[in-house]
Amino acid sequence: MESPWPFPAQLPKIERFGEDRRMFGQEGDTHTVKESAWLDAMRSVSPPHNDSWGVLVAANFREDKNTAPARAAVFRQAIESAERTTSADEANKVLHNALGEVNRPENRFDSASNDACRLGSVPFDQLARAVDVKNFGERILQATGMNLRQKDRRVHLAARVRAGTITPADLGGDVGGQNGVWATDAHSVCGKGTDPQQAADIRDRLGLDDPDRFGEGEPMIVLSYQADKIPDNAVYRPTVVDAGGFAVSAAWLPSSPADATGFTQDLRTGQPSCPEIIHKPFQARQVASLTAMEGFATGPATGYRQERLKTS
Amino acid sequence: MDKNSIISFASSKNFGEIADLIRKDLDVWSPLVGSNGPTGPGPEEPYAQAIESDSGLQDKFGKAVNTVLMGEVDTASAEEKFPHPMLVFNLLVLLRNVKLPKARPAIAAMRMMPGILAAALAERDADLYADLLYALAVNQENGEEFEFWRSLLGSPQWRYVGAAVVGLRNCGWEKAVTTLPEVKKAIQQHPELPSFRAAVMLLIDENPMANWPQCAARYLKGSEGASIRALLQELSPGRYEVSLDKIDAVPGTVLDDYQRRMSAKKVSRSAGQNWQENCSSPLSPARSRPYPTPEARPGVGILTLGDLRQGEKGGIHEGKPARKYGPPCGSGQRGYWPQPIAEKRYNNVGHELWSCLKDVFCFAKLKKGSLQSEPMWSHNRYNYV
Repeated sequence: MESPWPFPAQLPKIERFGEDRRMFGQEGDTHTVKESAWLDAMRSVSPPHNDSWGVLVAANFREDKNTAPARAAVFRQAIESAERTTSADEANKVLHNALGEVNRPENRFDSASNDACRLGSVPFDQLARAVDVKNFGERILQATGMNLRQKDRRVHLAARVRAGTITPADLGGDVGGQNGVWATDAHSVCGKGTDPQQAADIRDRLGLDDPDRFGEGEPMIVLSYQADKIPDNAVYRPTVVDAGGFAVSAAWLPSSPADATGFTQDLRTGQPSCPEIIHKPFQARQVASLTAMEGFATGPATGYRQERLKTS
Repeated sequence: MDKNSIISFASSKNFGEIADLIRKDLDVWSPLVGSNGPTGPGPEEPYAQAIESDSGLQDKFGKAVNTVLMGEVDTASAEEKFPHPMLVFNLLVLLRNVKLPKARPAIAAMRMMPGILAAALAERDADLYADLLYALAVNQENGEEFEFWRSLLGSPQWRYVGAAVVGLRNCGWEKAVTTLPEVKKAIQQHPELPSFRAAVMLLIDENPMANWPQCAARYLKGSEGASIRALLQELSPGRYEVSLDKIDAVPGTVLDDYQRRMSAKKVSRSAGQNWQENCSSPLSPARSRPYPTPEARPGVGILTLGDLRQGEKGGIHEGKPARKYGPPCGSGQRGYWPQPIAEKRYNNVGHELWSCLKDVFCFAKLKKGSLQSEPMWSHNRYNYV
């Protein structure tokens, strides 16, 4: 089937920056001993679900060219202010605090310092955002205290959505948080089926690699909405300091400044897959429709790691 | 640290050492701060997973969280600001996700400083006092804050109203259902909150065994009540049409109904020792004693007439312990009612119940027509009619 999104004729090539430890791919930057120590320590971080996480994240920091200089400086400053990193745990903590600094209102993706990443216009007429059921329930349905960590409860909630008991009019709060709404073209996701195999296929194409939230048997909810709901009509290219939430996602690819948008990374092939942008949060009630996928037939694919490690 | 590392660490350490770990691990930025929508998991997520997967650690973690928060409260009361606001935020998110009874003293202490809490992360669009209210809503004991939540429904802050809705839901379904009209009004004033319909749905989902028809009929009157009753009915299909065939675990309600009819007719009891007080089902609001649940007594199934007769003097079950729901019969059984009451019940109720049930089944057969269709020579035990 022909892709609804006009992919670039040649997929963005991941450039390699050799063995140097410059972050954000910016030529001429002076890298410090602390930066080097931090990147080295990041390479040894190994969360349980992804034994190459540190290597991949360090590669993303090195190769992403889109992070605006001012934001990169804030990030670096947070690393500078930390003690010299000597362990993986310390590197992780430094990363989180640096992300905290970048996500302050005056520095985050929608601030003036990130204007270089602002895209000229919204590239799609309809957008989609995929969320895990636990977050969906806890945040925009306020199912606090209902222990959505229990799988049967998550499945039940997804069934409620599928049965139409929960509609967009029932939602509260916002879609997205302070690190924005990560969205893709709705045509890449909606109408592609909701059965377990199709759901797993969509999950892999979107690069959702967290097995706790998107693992085998987990349902997923897709919120689709019109482009005119985007606040200020402002959309941005995702950068490495925006990627992920608490931690930087390993399943993320830096895009080339020449591309019209960012791209998700296909978890099976490691190649760019669906177009991806970020924008400010908006009211959840403005969502046009909710689609509840059935539990994934398989866990997230891991093929992307080998592919990415070849160039990292 | 990931979930497994946290479990293995906590298993071998005391709560003070766990508190040190928490201070070190959770004083970091979280994507959830200032967020009203779904983002990713926060840094407290591995701790929540660890506590849930190993309930034996709940007390240790509760004490550790209490220690950490009390330390923050001490400093905040002296300096009028929290030294580690992100640590407090992450722990409040943890407390709104898991119940830690041992952390209640810290929650109570923090309630005394709403202004300091609200200001702690204000520059990041976060209100820690609202997060504290959510933590309290989940960690309250036996709905003790019921009146507080009711009063909070009138707050102009939508986050506080949201916490009040959650707090009322966690007060128990009977209390919660009485406040549904107030909740509806409060939600209508705050479009940032999920709809009233969603609130009712979550209440039903959280209490699937609740006796909604009875409670709704009792507490939700008038036209306003009628619309809420209709919503309850719509969101809990099937619960209003209880069929005997579908009762496979808790037939106490059937017996309650039967007993009510019977006691109105001829059963008399001395005060404090009647059937209604001692034998009502877990679904009955009149319950005055703990009642064994199906989970607590594996193997409990459908109540049969044989069960009603078990322990009957001279019968095949004489002296055997009570093992199913329904009236305990016979002396010497190790039921769960006090022995003297059980004996009285046997004498007064067991036989009556059995004989009346026979009449009921006979009548049912007559209505169905099967009795009449049987030949006169049949040895049907009911053909005396």
